Amino acid sequence: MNPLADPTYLLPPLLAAIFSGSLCLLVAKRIARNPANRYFALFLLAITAWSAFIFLMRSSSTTSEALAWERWVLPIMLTTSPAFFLFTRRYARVGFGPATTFALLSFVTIAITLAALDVLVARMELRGYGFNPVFTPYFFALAIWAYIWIALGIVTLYRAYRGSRIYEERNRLFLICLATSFPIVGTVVDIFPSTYPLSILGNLVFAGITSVAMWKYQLMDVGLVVRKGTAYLTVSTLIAVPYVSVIFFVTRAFQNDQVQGVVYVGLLFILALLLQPLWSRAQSRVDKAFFRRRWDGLRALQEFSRRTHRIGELQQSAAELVDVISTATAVDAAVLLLPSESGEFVPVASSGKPEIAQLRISSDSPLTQWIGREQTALDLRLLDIDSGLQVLVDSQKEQLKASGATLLVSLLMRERLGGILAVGAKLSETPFSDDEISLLTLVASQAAVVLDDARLYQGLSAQLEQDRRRLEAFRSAASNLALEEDPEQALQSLVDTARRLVGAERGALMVWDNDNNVVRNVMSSPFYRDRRQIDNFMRNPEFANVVADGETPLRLGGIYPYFGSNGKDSIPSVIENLLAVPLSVNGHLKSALILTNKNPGPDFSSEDERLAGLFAVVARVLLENVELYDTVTREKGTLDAILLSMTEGLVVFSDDHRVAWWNDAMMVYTGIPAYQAIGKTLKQALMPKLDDLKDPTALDVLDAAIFGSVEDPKPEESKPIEIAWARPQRVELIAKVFSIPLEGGTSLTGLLMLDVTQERELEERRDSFISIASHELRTPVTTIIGFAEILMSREVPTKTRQAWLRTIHEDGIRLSNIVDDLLNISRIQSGKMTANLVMSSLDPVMDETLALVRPMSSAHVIVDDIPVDLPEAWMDTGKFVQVLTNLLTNAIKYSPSGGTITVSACHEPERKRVVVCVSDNGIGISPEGIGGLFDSFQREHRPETEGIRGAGLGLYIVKSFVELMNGEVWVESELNVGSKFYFSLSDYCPDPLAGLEVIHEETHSSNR
Amino acid sequence: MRKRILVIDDEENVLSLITATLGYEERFDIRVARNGREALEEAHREIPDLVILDMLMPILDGSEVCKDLKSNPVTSKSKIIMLTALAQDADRGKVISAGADRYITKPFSPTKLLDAVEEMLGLDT
Repeated sequence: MNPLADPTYLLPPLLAAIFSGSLCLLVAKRIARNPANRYFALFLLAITAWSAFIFLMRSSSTTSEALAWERWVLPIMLTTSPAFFLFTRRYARVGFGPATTFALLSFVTIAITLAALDVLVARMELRGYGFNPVFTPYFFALAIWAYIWIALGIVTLYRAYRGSRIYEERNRLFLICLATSFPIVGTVVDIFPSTYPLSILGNLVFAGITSVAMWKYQLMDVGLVVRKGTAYLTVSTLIAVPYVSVIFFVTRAFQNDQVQGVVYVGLLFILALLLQPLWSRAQSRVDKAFFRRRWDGLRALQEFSRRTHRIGELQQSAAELVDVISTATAVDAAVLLLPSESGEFVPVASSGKPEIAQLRISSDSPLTQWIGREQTALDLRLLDIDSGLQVLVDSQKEQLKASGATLLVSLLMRERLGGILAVGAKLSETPFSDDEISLLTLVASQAAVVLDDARLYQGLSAQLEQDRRRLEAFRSAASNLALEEDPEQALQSLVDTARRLVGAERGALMVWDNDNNVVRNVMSSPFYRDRRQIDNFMRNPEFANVVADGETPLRLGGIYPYFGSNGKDSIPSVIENLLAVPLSVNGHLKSALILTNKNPGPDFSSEDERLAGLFAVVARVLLENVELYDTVTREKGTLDAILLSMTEGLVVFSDDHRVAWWNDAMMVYTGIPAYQAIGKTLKQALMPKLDDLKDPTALDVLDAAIFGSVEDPKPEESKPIEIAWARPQRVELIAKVFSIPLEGGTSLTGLLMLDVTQERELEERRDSFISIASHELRTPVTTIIGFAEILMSREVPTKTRQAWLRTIHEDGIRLSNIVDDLLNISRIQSGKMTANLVMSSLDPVMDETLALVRPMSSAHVIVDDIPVDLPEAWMDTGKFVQVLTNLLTNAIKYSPSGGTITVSACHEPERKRVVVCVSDNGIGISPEGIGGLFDSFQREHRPETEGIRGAGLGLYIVKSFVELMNGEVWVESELNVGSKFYFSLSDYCPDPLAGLEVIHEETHSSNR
Repeated sequence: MRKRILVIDDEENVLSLITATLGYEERFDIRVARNGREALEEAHREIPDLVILDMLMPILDGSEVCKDLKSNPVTSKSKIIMLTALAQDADRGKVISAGADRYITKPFSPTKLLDAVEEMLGLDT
């Protein structure tokens, strides 16, 4: 038992220990995040331990026991100095090097080592007030070292004091220095033998002053800690009391019961389950009671956050935010500043005093820089203190003060200062506590997110709205373009619209001309007048790639030297930026829609690119249409020309076997125009001509072929089907049904009709000639050979033999004539026949002819009625004889026996010709027969002509010979009355001068 | 009884040649006609055993006369030799299809004509 159990001796260390211990707990509880406070807590812990061990030492009963405690006191006491040093350094944010760290570690190690070796305290002596240690020199050495740490700490704090501009901070520092000085003085006094150990009293004073510093100058929020602790105790009590009561009741109720164990297990299970919800509910209630303001603020913030998720509207979000701040922090005014387009932070929402709404902060002001840099709240009382803010000009300071703002909180949006929250003075006129500032910062950061969302949303909706408008404009433009009939106009309109909607100064549609290897400016708006600019497009390798690639659009920003000046003379319109969207037309035509000089705006955006891409698609369609239109027009023109001009009849059928196309030749053949035929089947179309058909069944065959071809198209043509009309004139056609396979599995069925009338007629005439010529030749040969053979084989009476020989001779001459005729015709037709014209009188040739012809028939009278004064005419005498002979022979053939044949002639001086006429009173010629009378192998077939032999060569030879003699031949005839054959011979001298006159005369006369 | 032969040709010279050929020694009863119509009239008046018919004739062609004779039961038993100046295959076909029993092309040898006539009439020389 302590012999000197004096309360004044024992109580101070106990009080100091309890006091500093409480402080230590408060600091440690509050400051989990702050290293300075952590070291301060360590320092306080050391003080506490020191005081506690002093108390234990003093309460010892013996000297040896006191000595044992003193051994622990000393190292702890010594350790307080490095802890203080560390705290000051951390507090003032002053670092230290490895040497200092080493020194600190060495000091602590040596102190503990020496204490453990028990070399610090020599002995304990008993003084009038109690035990007193007698120190060794080791301790004194260590004590000096410890004082050095303390001194360094004091210096650090003093510097911080000098450096700080916040008076709370300065006061706080001053108090800490003051408080620290008491234990120092106390220990110094204690080292030297004194009446009373003062150090522990110093500790007590230190603890008191520190408490004041913390309470008054917000080293920490003691009120909060107390409230928190009380709240925790309350919650615990609220939970513990019913739990303990229940267990107590159960224990009493089931004291002697068998089921006690089971009941306990069940009860514990239920209680354990209930613990969490009960606890949180109790805590929520207690928090609400103890932290009313904070709780309201948080609730308001929650509500704000919840609502702003829906709002998405910047203005309203800002107003909400300002209201929440005002309510939560109980301030007289609040304002939210957001950057305007000019870069200045301007109010968007405010509440409370109207002055605060006048606040404006420039974006390059030191204030914004400070807030942006520190990323924390700025107490405007710092304006006069912080060196970084002292550069603010007085007017700005005045403005800030006039607005009544006391605190600026930064709103960080995506790492950048996106807004400033300015808060007025608290209604309680107290400074903002750390708690409030942290709440404000929290609210501000939350608000920043919300506002950023709202701004993004606003920007996005604006963008969407713009996009929607542009797309709407595009849609209407595209539909207008689709209605445009002139493709060139449509392209012009397209480029213009694209340029307008995308917002480019110039637009062009350029096509890469593969043939000439140049780019062709199809359409531009306004026109690129300078050809070089266009050429320069192609010189740009990037652009060339774009066009060649045909897919990826090109966006260029900045002034492109390629498109700018060409060195010699600059082109006035420089291309600042460019958007080129390539498009390939039908996969072969390379082209691009080019837009240049975005206005307004720095460069073309991806949205512009998208829009231009849409236009490019339309342009591609237009260009493809133009190409298709050109091709179709050209092909159709060609086709129409071919089909219309073709001499073959062409009918094209639709899928329902009806006529879709009927060309002009068909109309010529059938006499049925296209408009009557189209839409009918072939048989229906030809119905008006059905009666004229030579073989009506051919039409059914044809119809069947068409039907078969439409239903089952085959590439080959059908077998030719002959169709022939006998009236009104003879038409013979060969019809072929064909089908052409088309793309897409369909086919085109048509009917081709070839006119073979002429061929058939020619064929028939040739057959007829061969048959007649054969007959004409073989008949005389038969008699010649036959009679000769009989004469050679048997004896014949002389008279009979004479007759037979005459027959042989007669037929020999006949044969000879026929051969001559055939030879003549052959020469005429091959063009080898020529006339040897001489000027001759008609008389001698007439005599010659009559001498030849008269023996042919004694039954006819041939009258020579040629005037004696007839002038000479140009003739080939041989041919003249032949012509006249043929005409007379015909006259004999077609005149009845006893008929008179007259040969007359007259001179027509005005036409410079002599006309010879052979007239008869024979059967005549029908009007139809006159048409082809002079053609070769043509004979009129009438009952009257049957029995009259002839190869149909005579008149053909007549006509040919007369024409060779520059004459004409014609006929006048009346059926059963007679015929008059005329031919002319020219009587004029064919010299050049006369020729002109003759032509004139002839023209004149023909007009007459 | 002499066989009756009807000779039809529009050529007087051919007609006289045939009558000269067949009329020798007066073995046949020869009748002549100068066109088809006359020929039919003659054939129906006295049915000939043999008809020598020229193919190419005015007023009723030889082939028409031939068809007429062969289609009429009265005259269908008469043999017909067709004389033709046509040598083409198509014409020969025409002759056969007309129903002629035989055809002889012009020019012909009188001896051969006589042989053909005798053969057709079943006479042995």
